[in-house]
Amino acid sequence: MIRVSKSPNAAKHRFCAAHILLAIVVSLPGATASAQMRSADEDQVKAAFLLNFGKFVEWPATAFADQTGLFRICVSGATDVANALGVLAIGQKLNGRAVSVMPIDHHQPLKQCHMLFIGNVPGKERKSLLAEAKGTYAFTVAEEKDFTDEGSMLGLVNTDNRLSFEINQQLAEEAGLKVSSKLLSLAKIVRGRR
Amino acid sequence: MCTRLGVSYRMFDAESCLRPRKVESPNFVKSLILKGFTIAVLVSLVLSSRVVVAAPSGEQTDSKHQAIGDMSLEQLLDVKVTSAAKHEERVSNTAAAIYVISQDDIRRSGATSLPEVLRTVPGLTVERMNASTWVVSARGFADQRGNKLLVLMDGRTLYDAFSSGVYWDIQNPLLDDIERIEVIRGPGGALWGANAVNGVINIISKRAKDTQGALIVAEAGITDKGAGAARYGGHIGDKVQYRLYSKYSRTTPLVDAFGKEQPDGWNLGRGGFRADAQLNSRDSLTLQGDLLRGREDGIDKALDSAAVELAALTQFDSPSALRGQNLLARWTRTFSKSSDLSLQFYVDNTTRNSLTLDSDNRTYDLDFQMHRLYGSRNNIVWGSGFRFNRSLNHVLASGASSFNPDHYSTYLGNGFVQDEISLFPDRLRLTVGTKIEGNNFSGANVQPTARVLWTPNQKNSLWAAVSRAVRTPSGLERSRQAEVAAFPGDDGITNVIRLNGNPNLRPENLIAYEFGYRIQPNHKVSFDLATFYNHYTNLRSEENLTPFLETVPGPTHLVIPAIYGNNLYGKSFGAEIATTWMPTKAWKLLATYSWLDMSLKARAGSTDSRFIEDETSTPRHQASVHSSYNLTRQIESDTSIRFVDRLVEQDTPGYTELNSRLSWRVAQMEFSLVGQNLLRARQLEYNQPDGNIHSWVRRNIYGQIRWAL
Repeated sequence: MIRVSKSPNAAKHRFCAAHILLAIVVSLPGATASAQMRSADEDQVKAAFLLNFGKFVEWPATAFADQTGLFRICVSGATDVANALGVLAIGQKLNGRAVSVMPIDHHQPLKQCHMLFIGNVPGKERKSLLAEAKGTYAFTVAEEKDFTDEGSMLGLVNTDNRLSFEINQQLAEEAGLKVSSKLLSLAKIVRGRR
Repeated sequence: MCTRLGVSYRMFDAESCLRPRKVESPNFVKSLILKGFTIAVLVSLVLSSRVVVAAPSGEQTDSKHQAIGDMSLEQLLDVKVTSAAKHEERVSNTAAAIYVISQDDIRRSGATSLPEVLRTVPGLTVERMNASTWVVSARGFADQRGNKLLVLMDGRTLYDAFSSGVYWDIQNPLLDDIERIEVIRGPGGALWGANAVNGVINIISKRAKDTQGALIVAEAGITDKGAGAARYGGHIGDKVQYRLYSKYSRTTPLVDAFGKEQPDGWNLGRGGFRADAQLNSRDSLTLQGDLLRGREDGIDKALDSAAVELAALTQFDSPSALRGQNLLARWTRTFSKSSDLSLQFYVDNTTRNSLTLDSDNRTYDLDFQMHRLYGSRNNIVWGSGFRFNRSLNHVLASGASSFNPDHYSTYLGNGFVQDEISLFPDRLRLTVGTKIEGNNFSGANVQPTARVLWTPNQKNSLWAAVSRAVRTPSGLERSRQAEVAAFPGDDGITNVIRLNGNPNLRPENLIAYEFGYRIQPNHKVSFDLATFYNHYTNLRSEENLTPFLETVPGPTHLVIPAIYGNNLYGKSFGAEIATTWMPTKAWKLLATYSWLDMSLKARAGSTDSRFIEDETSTPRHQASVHSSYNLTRQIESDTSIRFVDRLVEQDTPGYTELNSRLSWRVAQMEFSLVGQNLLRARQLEYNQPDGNIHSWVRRNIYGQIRWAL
């Protein structure tokens, strides 16, 4: 405990402190038991979505040809999502592999990516990212305003502060990826359905 | 106010990889009776004192993250997402020298007061003058109150316009309730108005939803202080969340050069609340307030017969009673993602009553702000505000400071507009804006700014800015008469220096040119450089008037009167560097360095000799290294070392000091052991010859327990 020099007013001030607290207690409204708040930071929710998508897409064995045995989620233009993903991914496995999060920019090759999330990236760059991803096994996810056939395989949309998603099944299958029926059933819109 | 001008800043942090951000507590299901009991316990703890309450907790964080991570797709589709303010910006995308301190940084710094927290910011000077007084300034001018640095908490100004500066003793909120502190070095007048000359500090408290549940914090140290705090956060239905807190702290006196205790100990009790209500999808309301009471030892000086006989001002102990209360209400309406408005009102009252002076300071402030995105290129924020401030200074003893007039009212009105223009989307951005502020004592001030940000790619950004800012003369500088010193004169007659207020004092002006560069080659390394050239005019000076003989109080003595003037001008150059490196996931290093070179001159005809020295008394070099290491998920270790250059004009040597913190989390408890200023038994940080108590800061070791119920 600390050594304190006694001040003559100490008692009085303790009294004051008591008053402050009492005032607070008296003004305490009848609180109800708290329910879990169903709201969360958008970046964290996006990260959680990405991990979930990984569970419902099947990659061909050739997608994991490299030695590392990692499942790579590449993130472009969304450092906060990458950061949140880094935390959520600890200890998680996708397709039986440890998850590695790679923030990337448009100069880096995408061929190691199993999933590519495109956040706030200007139009031109985004197009080139998507074009480059075409020859790879990357399941492309983008924040889409206008989800089109030339876009990503999955579009994340924020409508009235809730996230939903749309899927282009045909694009995914062209890349050799199999989207599970569960993911398709939860999507708001499915394009290129087989 | 983070939302002022709609700009708030978020950290560029790879560190959130290390530790998740704080979120609300886990389910807290307790009966009302149990809550009542908890609070009764808290009350008794505070009464028995020495125990403080505060408290957040790392584990909650993990559990919440886990919760989101564990949700199924169906559940996720149901989650309402909240993104931090609409135009919250990444630090790397800001055309200003900004530095953000997160709650984690605060906790891991081991600091127990706001000024100590601010020591970690590159480019800020923080010096502890005595147990209750800190000097905090940016880019020079480390005078007693830091008169060129504006400080706000949740949109309420902590800068006392009457004495032009911040009383840091009464600004000691529960550190656990702070979400982040945004420090902008350089002028902010275009957004925040007068007195944001060399910087703005925005302290942003957590929303009530992020402080649900109960928290108790207690700390006790070997030399410095003991404190205790309690917080309880609850909610009413889904739409209203609130928290209540109470905190009590005692600061034991610091010492002089020989280790003898100085008369500067103090204690402060405070309590307060914050309530946030989401009225509907568009409107939200915040109500918050604090109440504080304290007692602070100090000294006063006066000119009496004894002083004249002995040729030295009479010094005597003069404890002050401190009181403060404030209440703030803010309404925010969000029209869409690209448009919102807010209206805020607050009232703030602080009083200090010593043996010689009763002072009472009251502020009423109304602020309106509107933000809207026009097209895809123009992000416009505009608003206006009105402030009324009244200061009463009732002098209780003759021979000490006096005030003429002793009632002092100021009215202040302002309007501002700022446009952020995307010249080339995501590549080149221009921000132009100005504030026009008028008052009833120094007329109208225009404070424009123009800022350019160029981001050639995601890893690099460059910015440059030109701005004007002013500091308005304070009531004290305009109305106070104070005896500065008494000393033996040539012919055996005592000489007394008397400084008079100048009702015609004009604002101080700054034109600042800034340039900055940031690079983040990968998520492990970041580098941030800010440089500036400041040109000041009309700086405050001290002008000598014609000496005269005075007979009361006897015996006859010679008064050398002086008066505030506006006759200093000059320039300063400087650079500030902050760089981070994460060698591993569990280890983060932060290194900072700042350099300042200032030269002031007096205009021809000025007789100033004192201020020109005082104002340049800021360390030329400052540097620090902070290491944050997670030994395990439960054990954190932090060590920081800082170097502060000598103060030439004050004859204060430079020093190097070491702080260290070790913390251990078990379930809902966190135990930490903190060592402050470990290298020396005591150290003088600030030694201005201004008649105040200048104490030596002692080595301190304290332990803290945090308990989240």
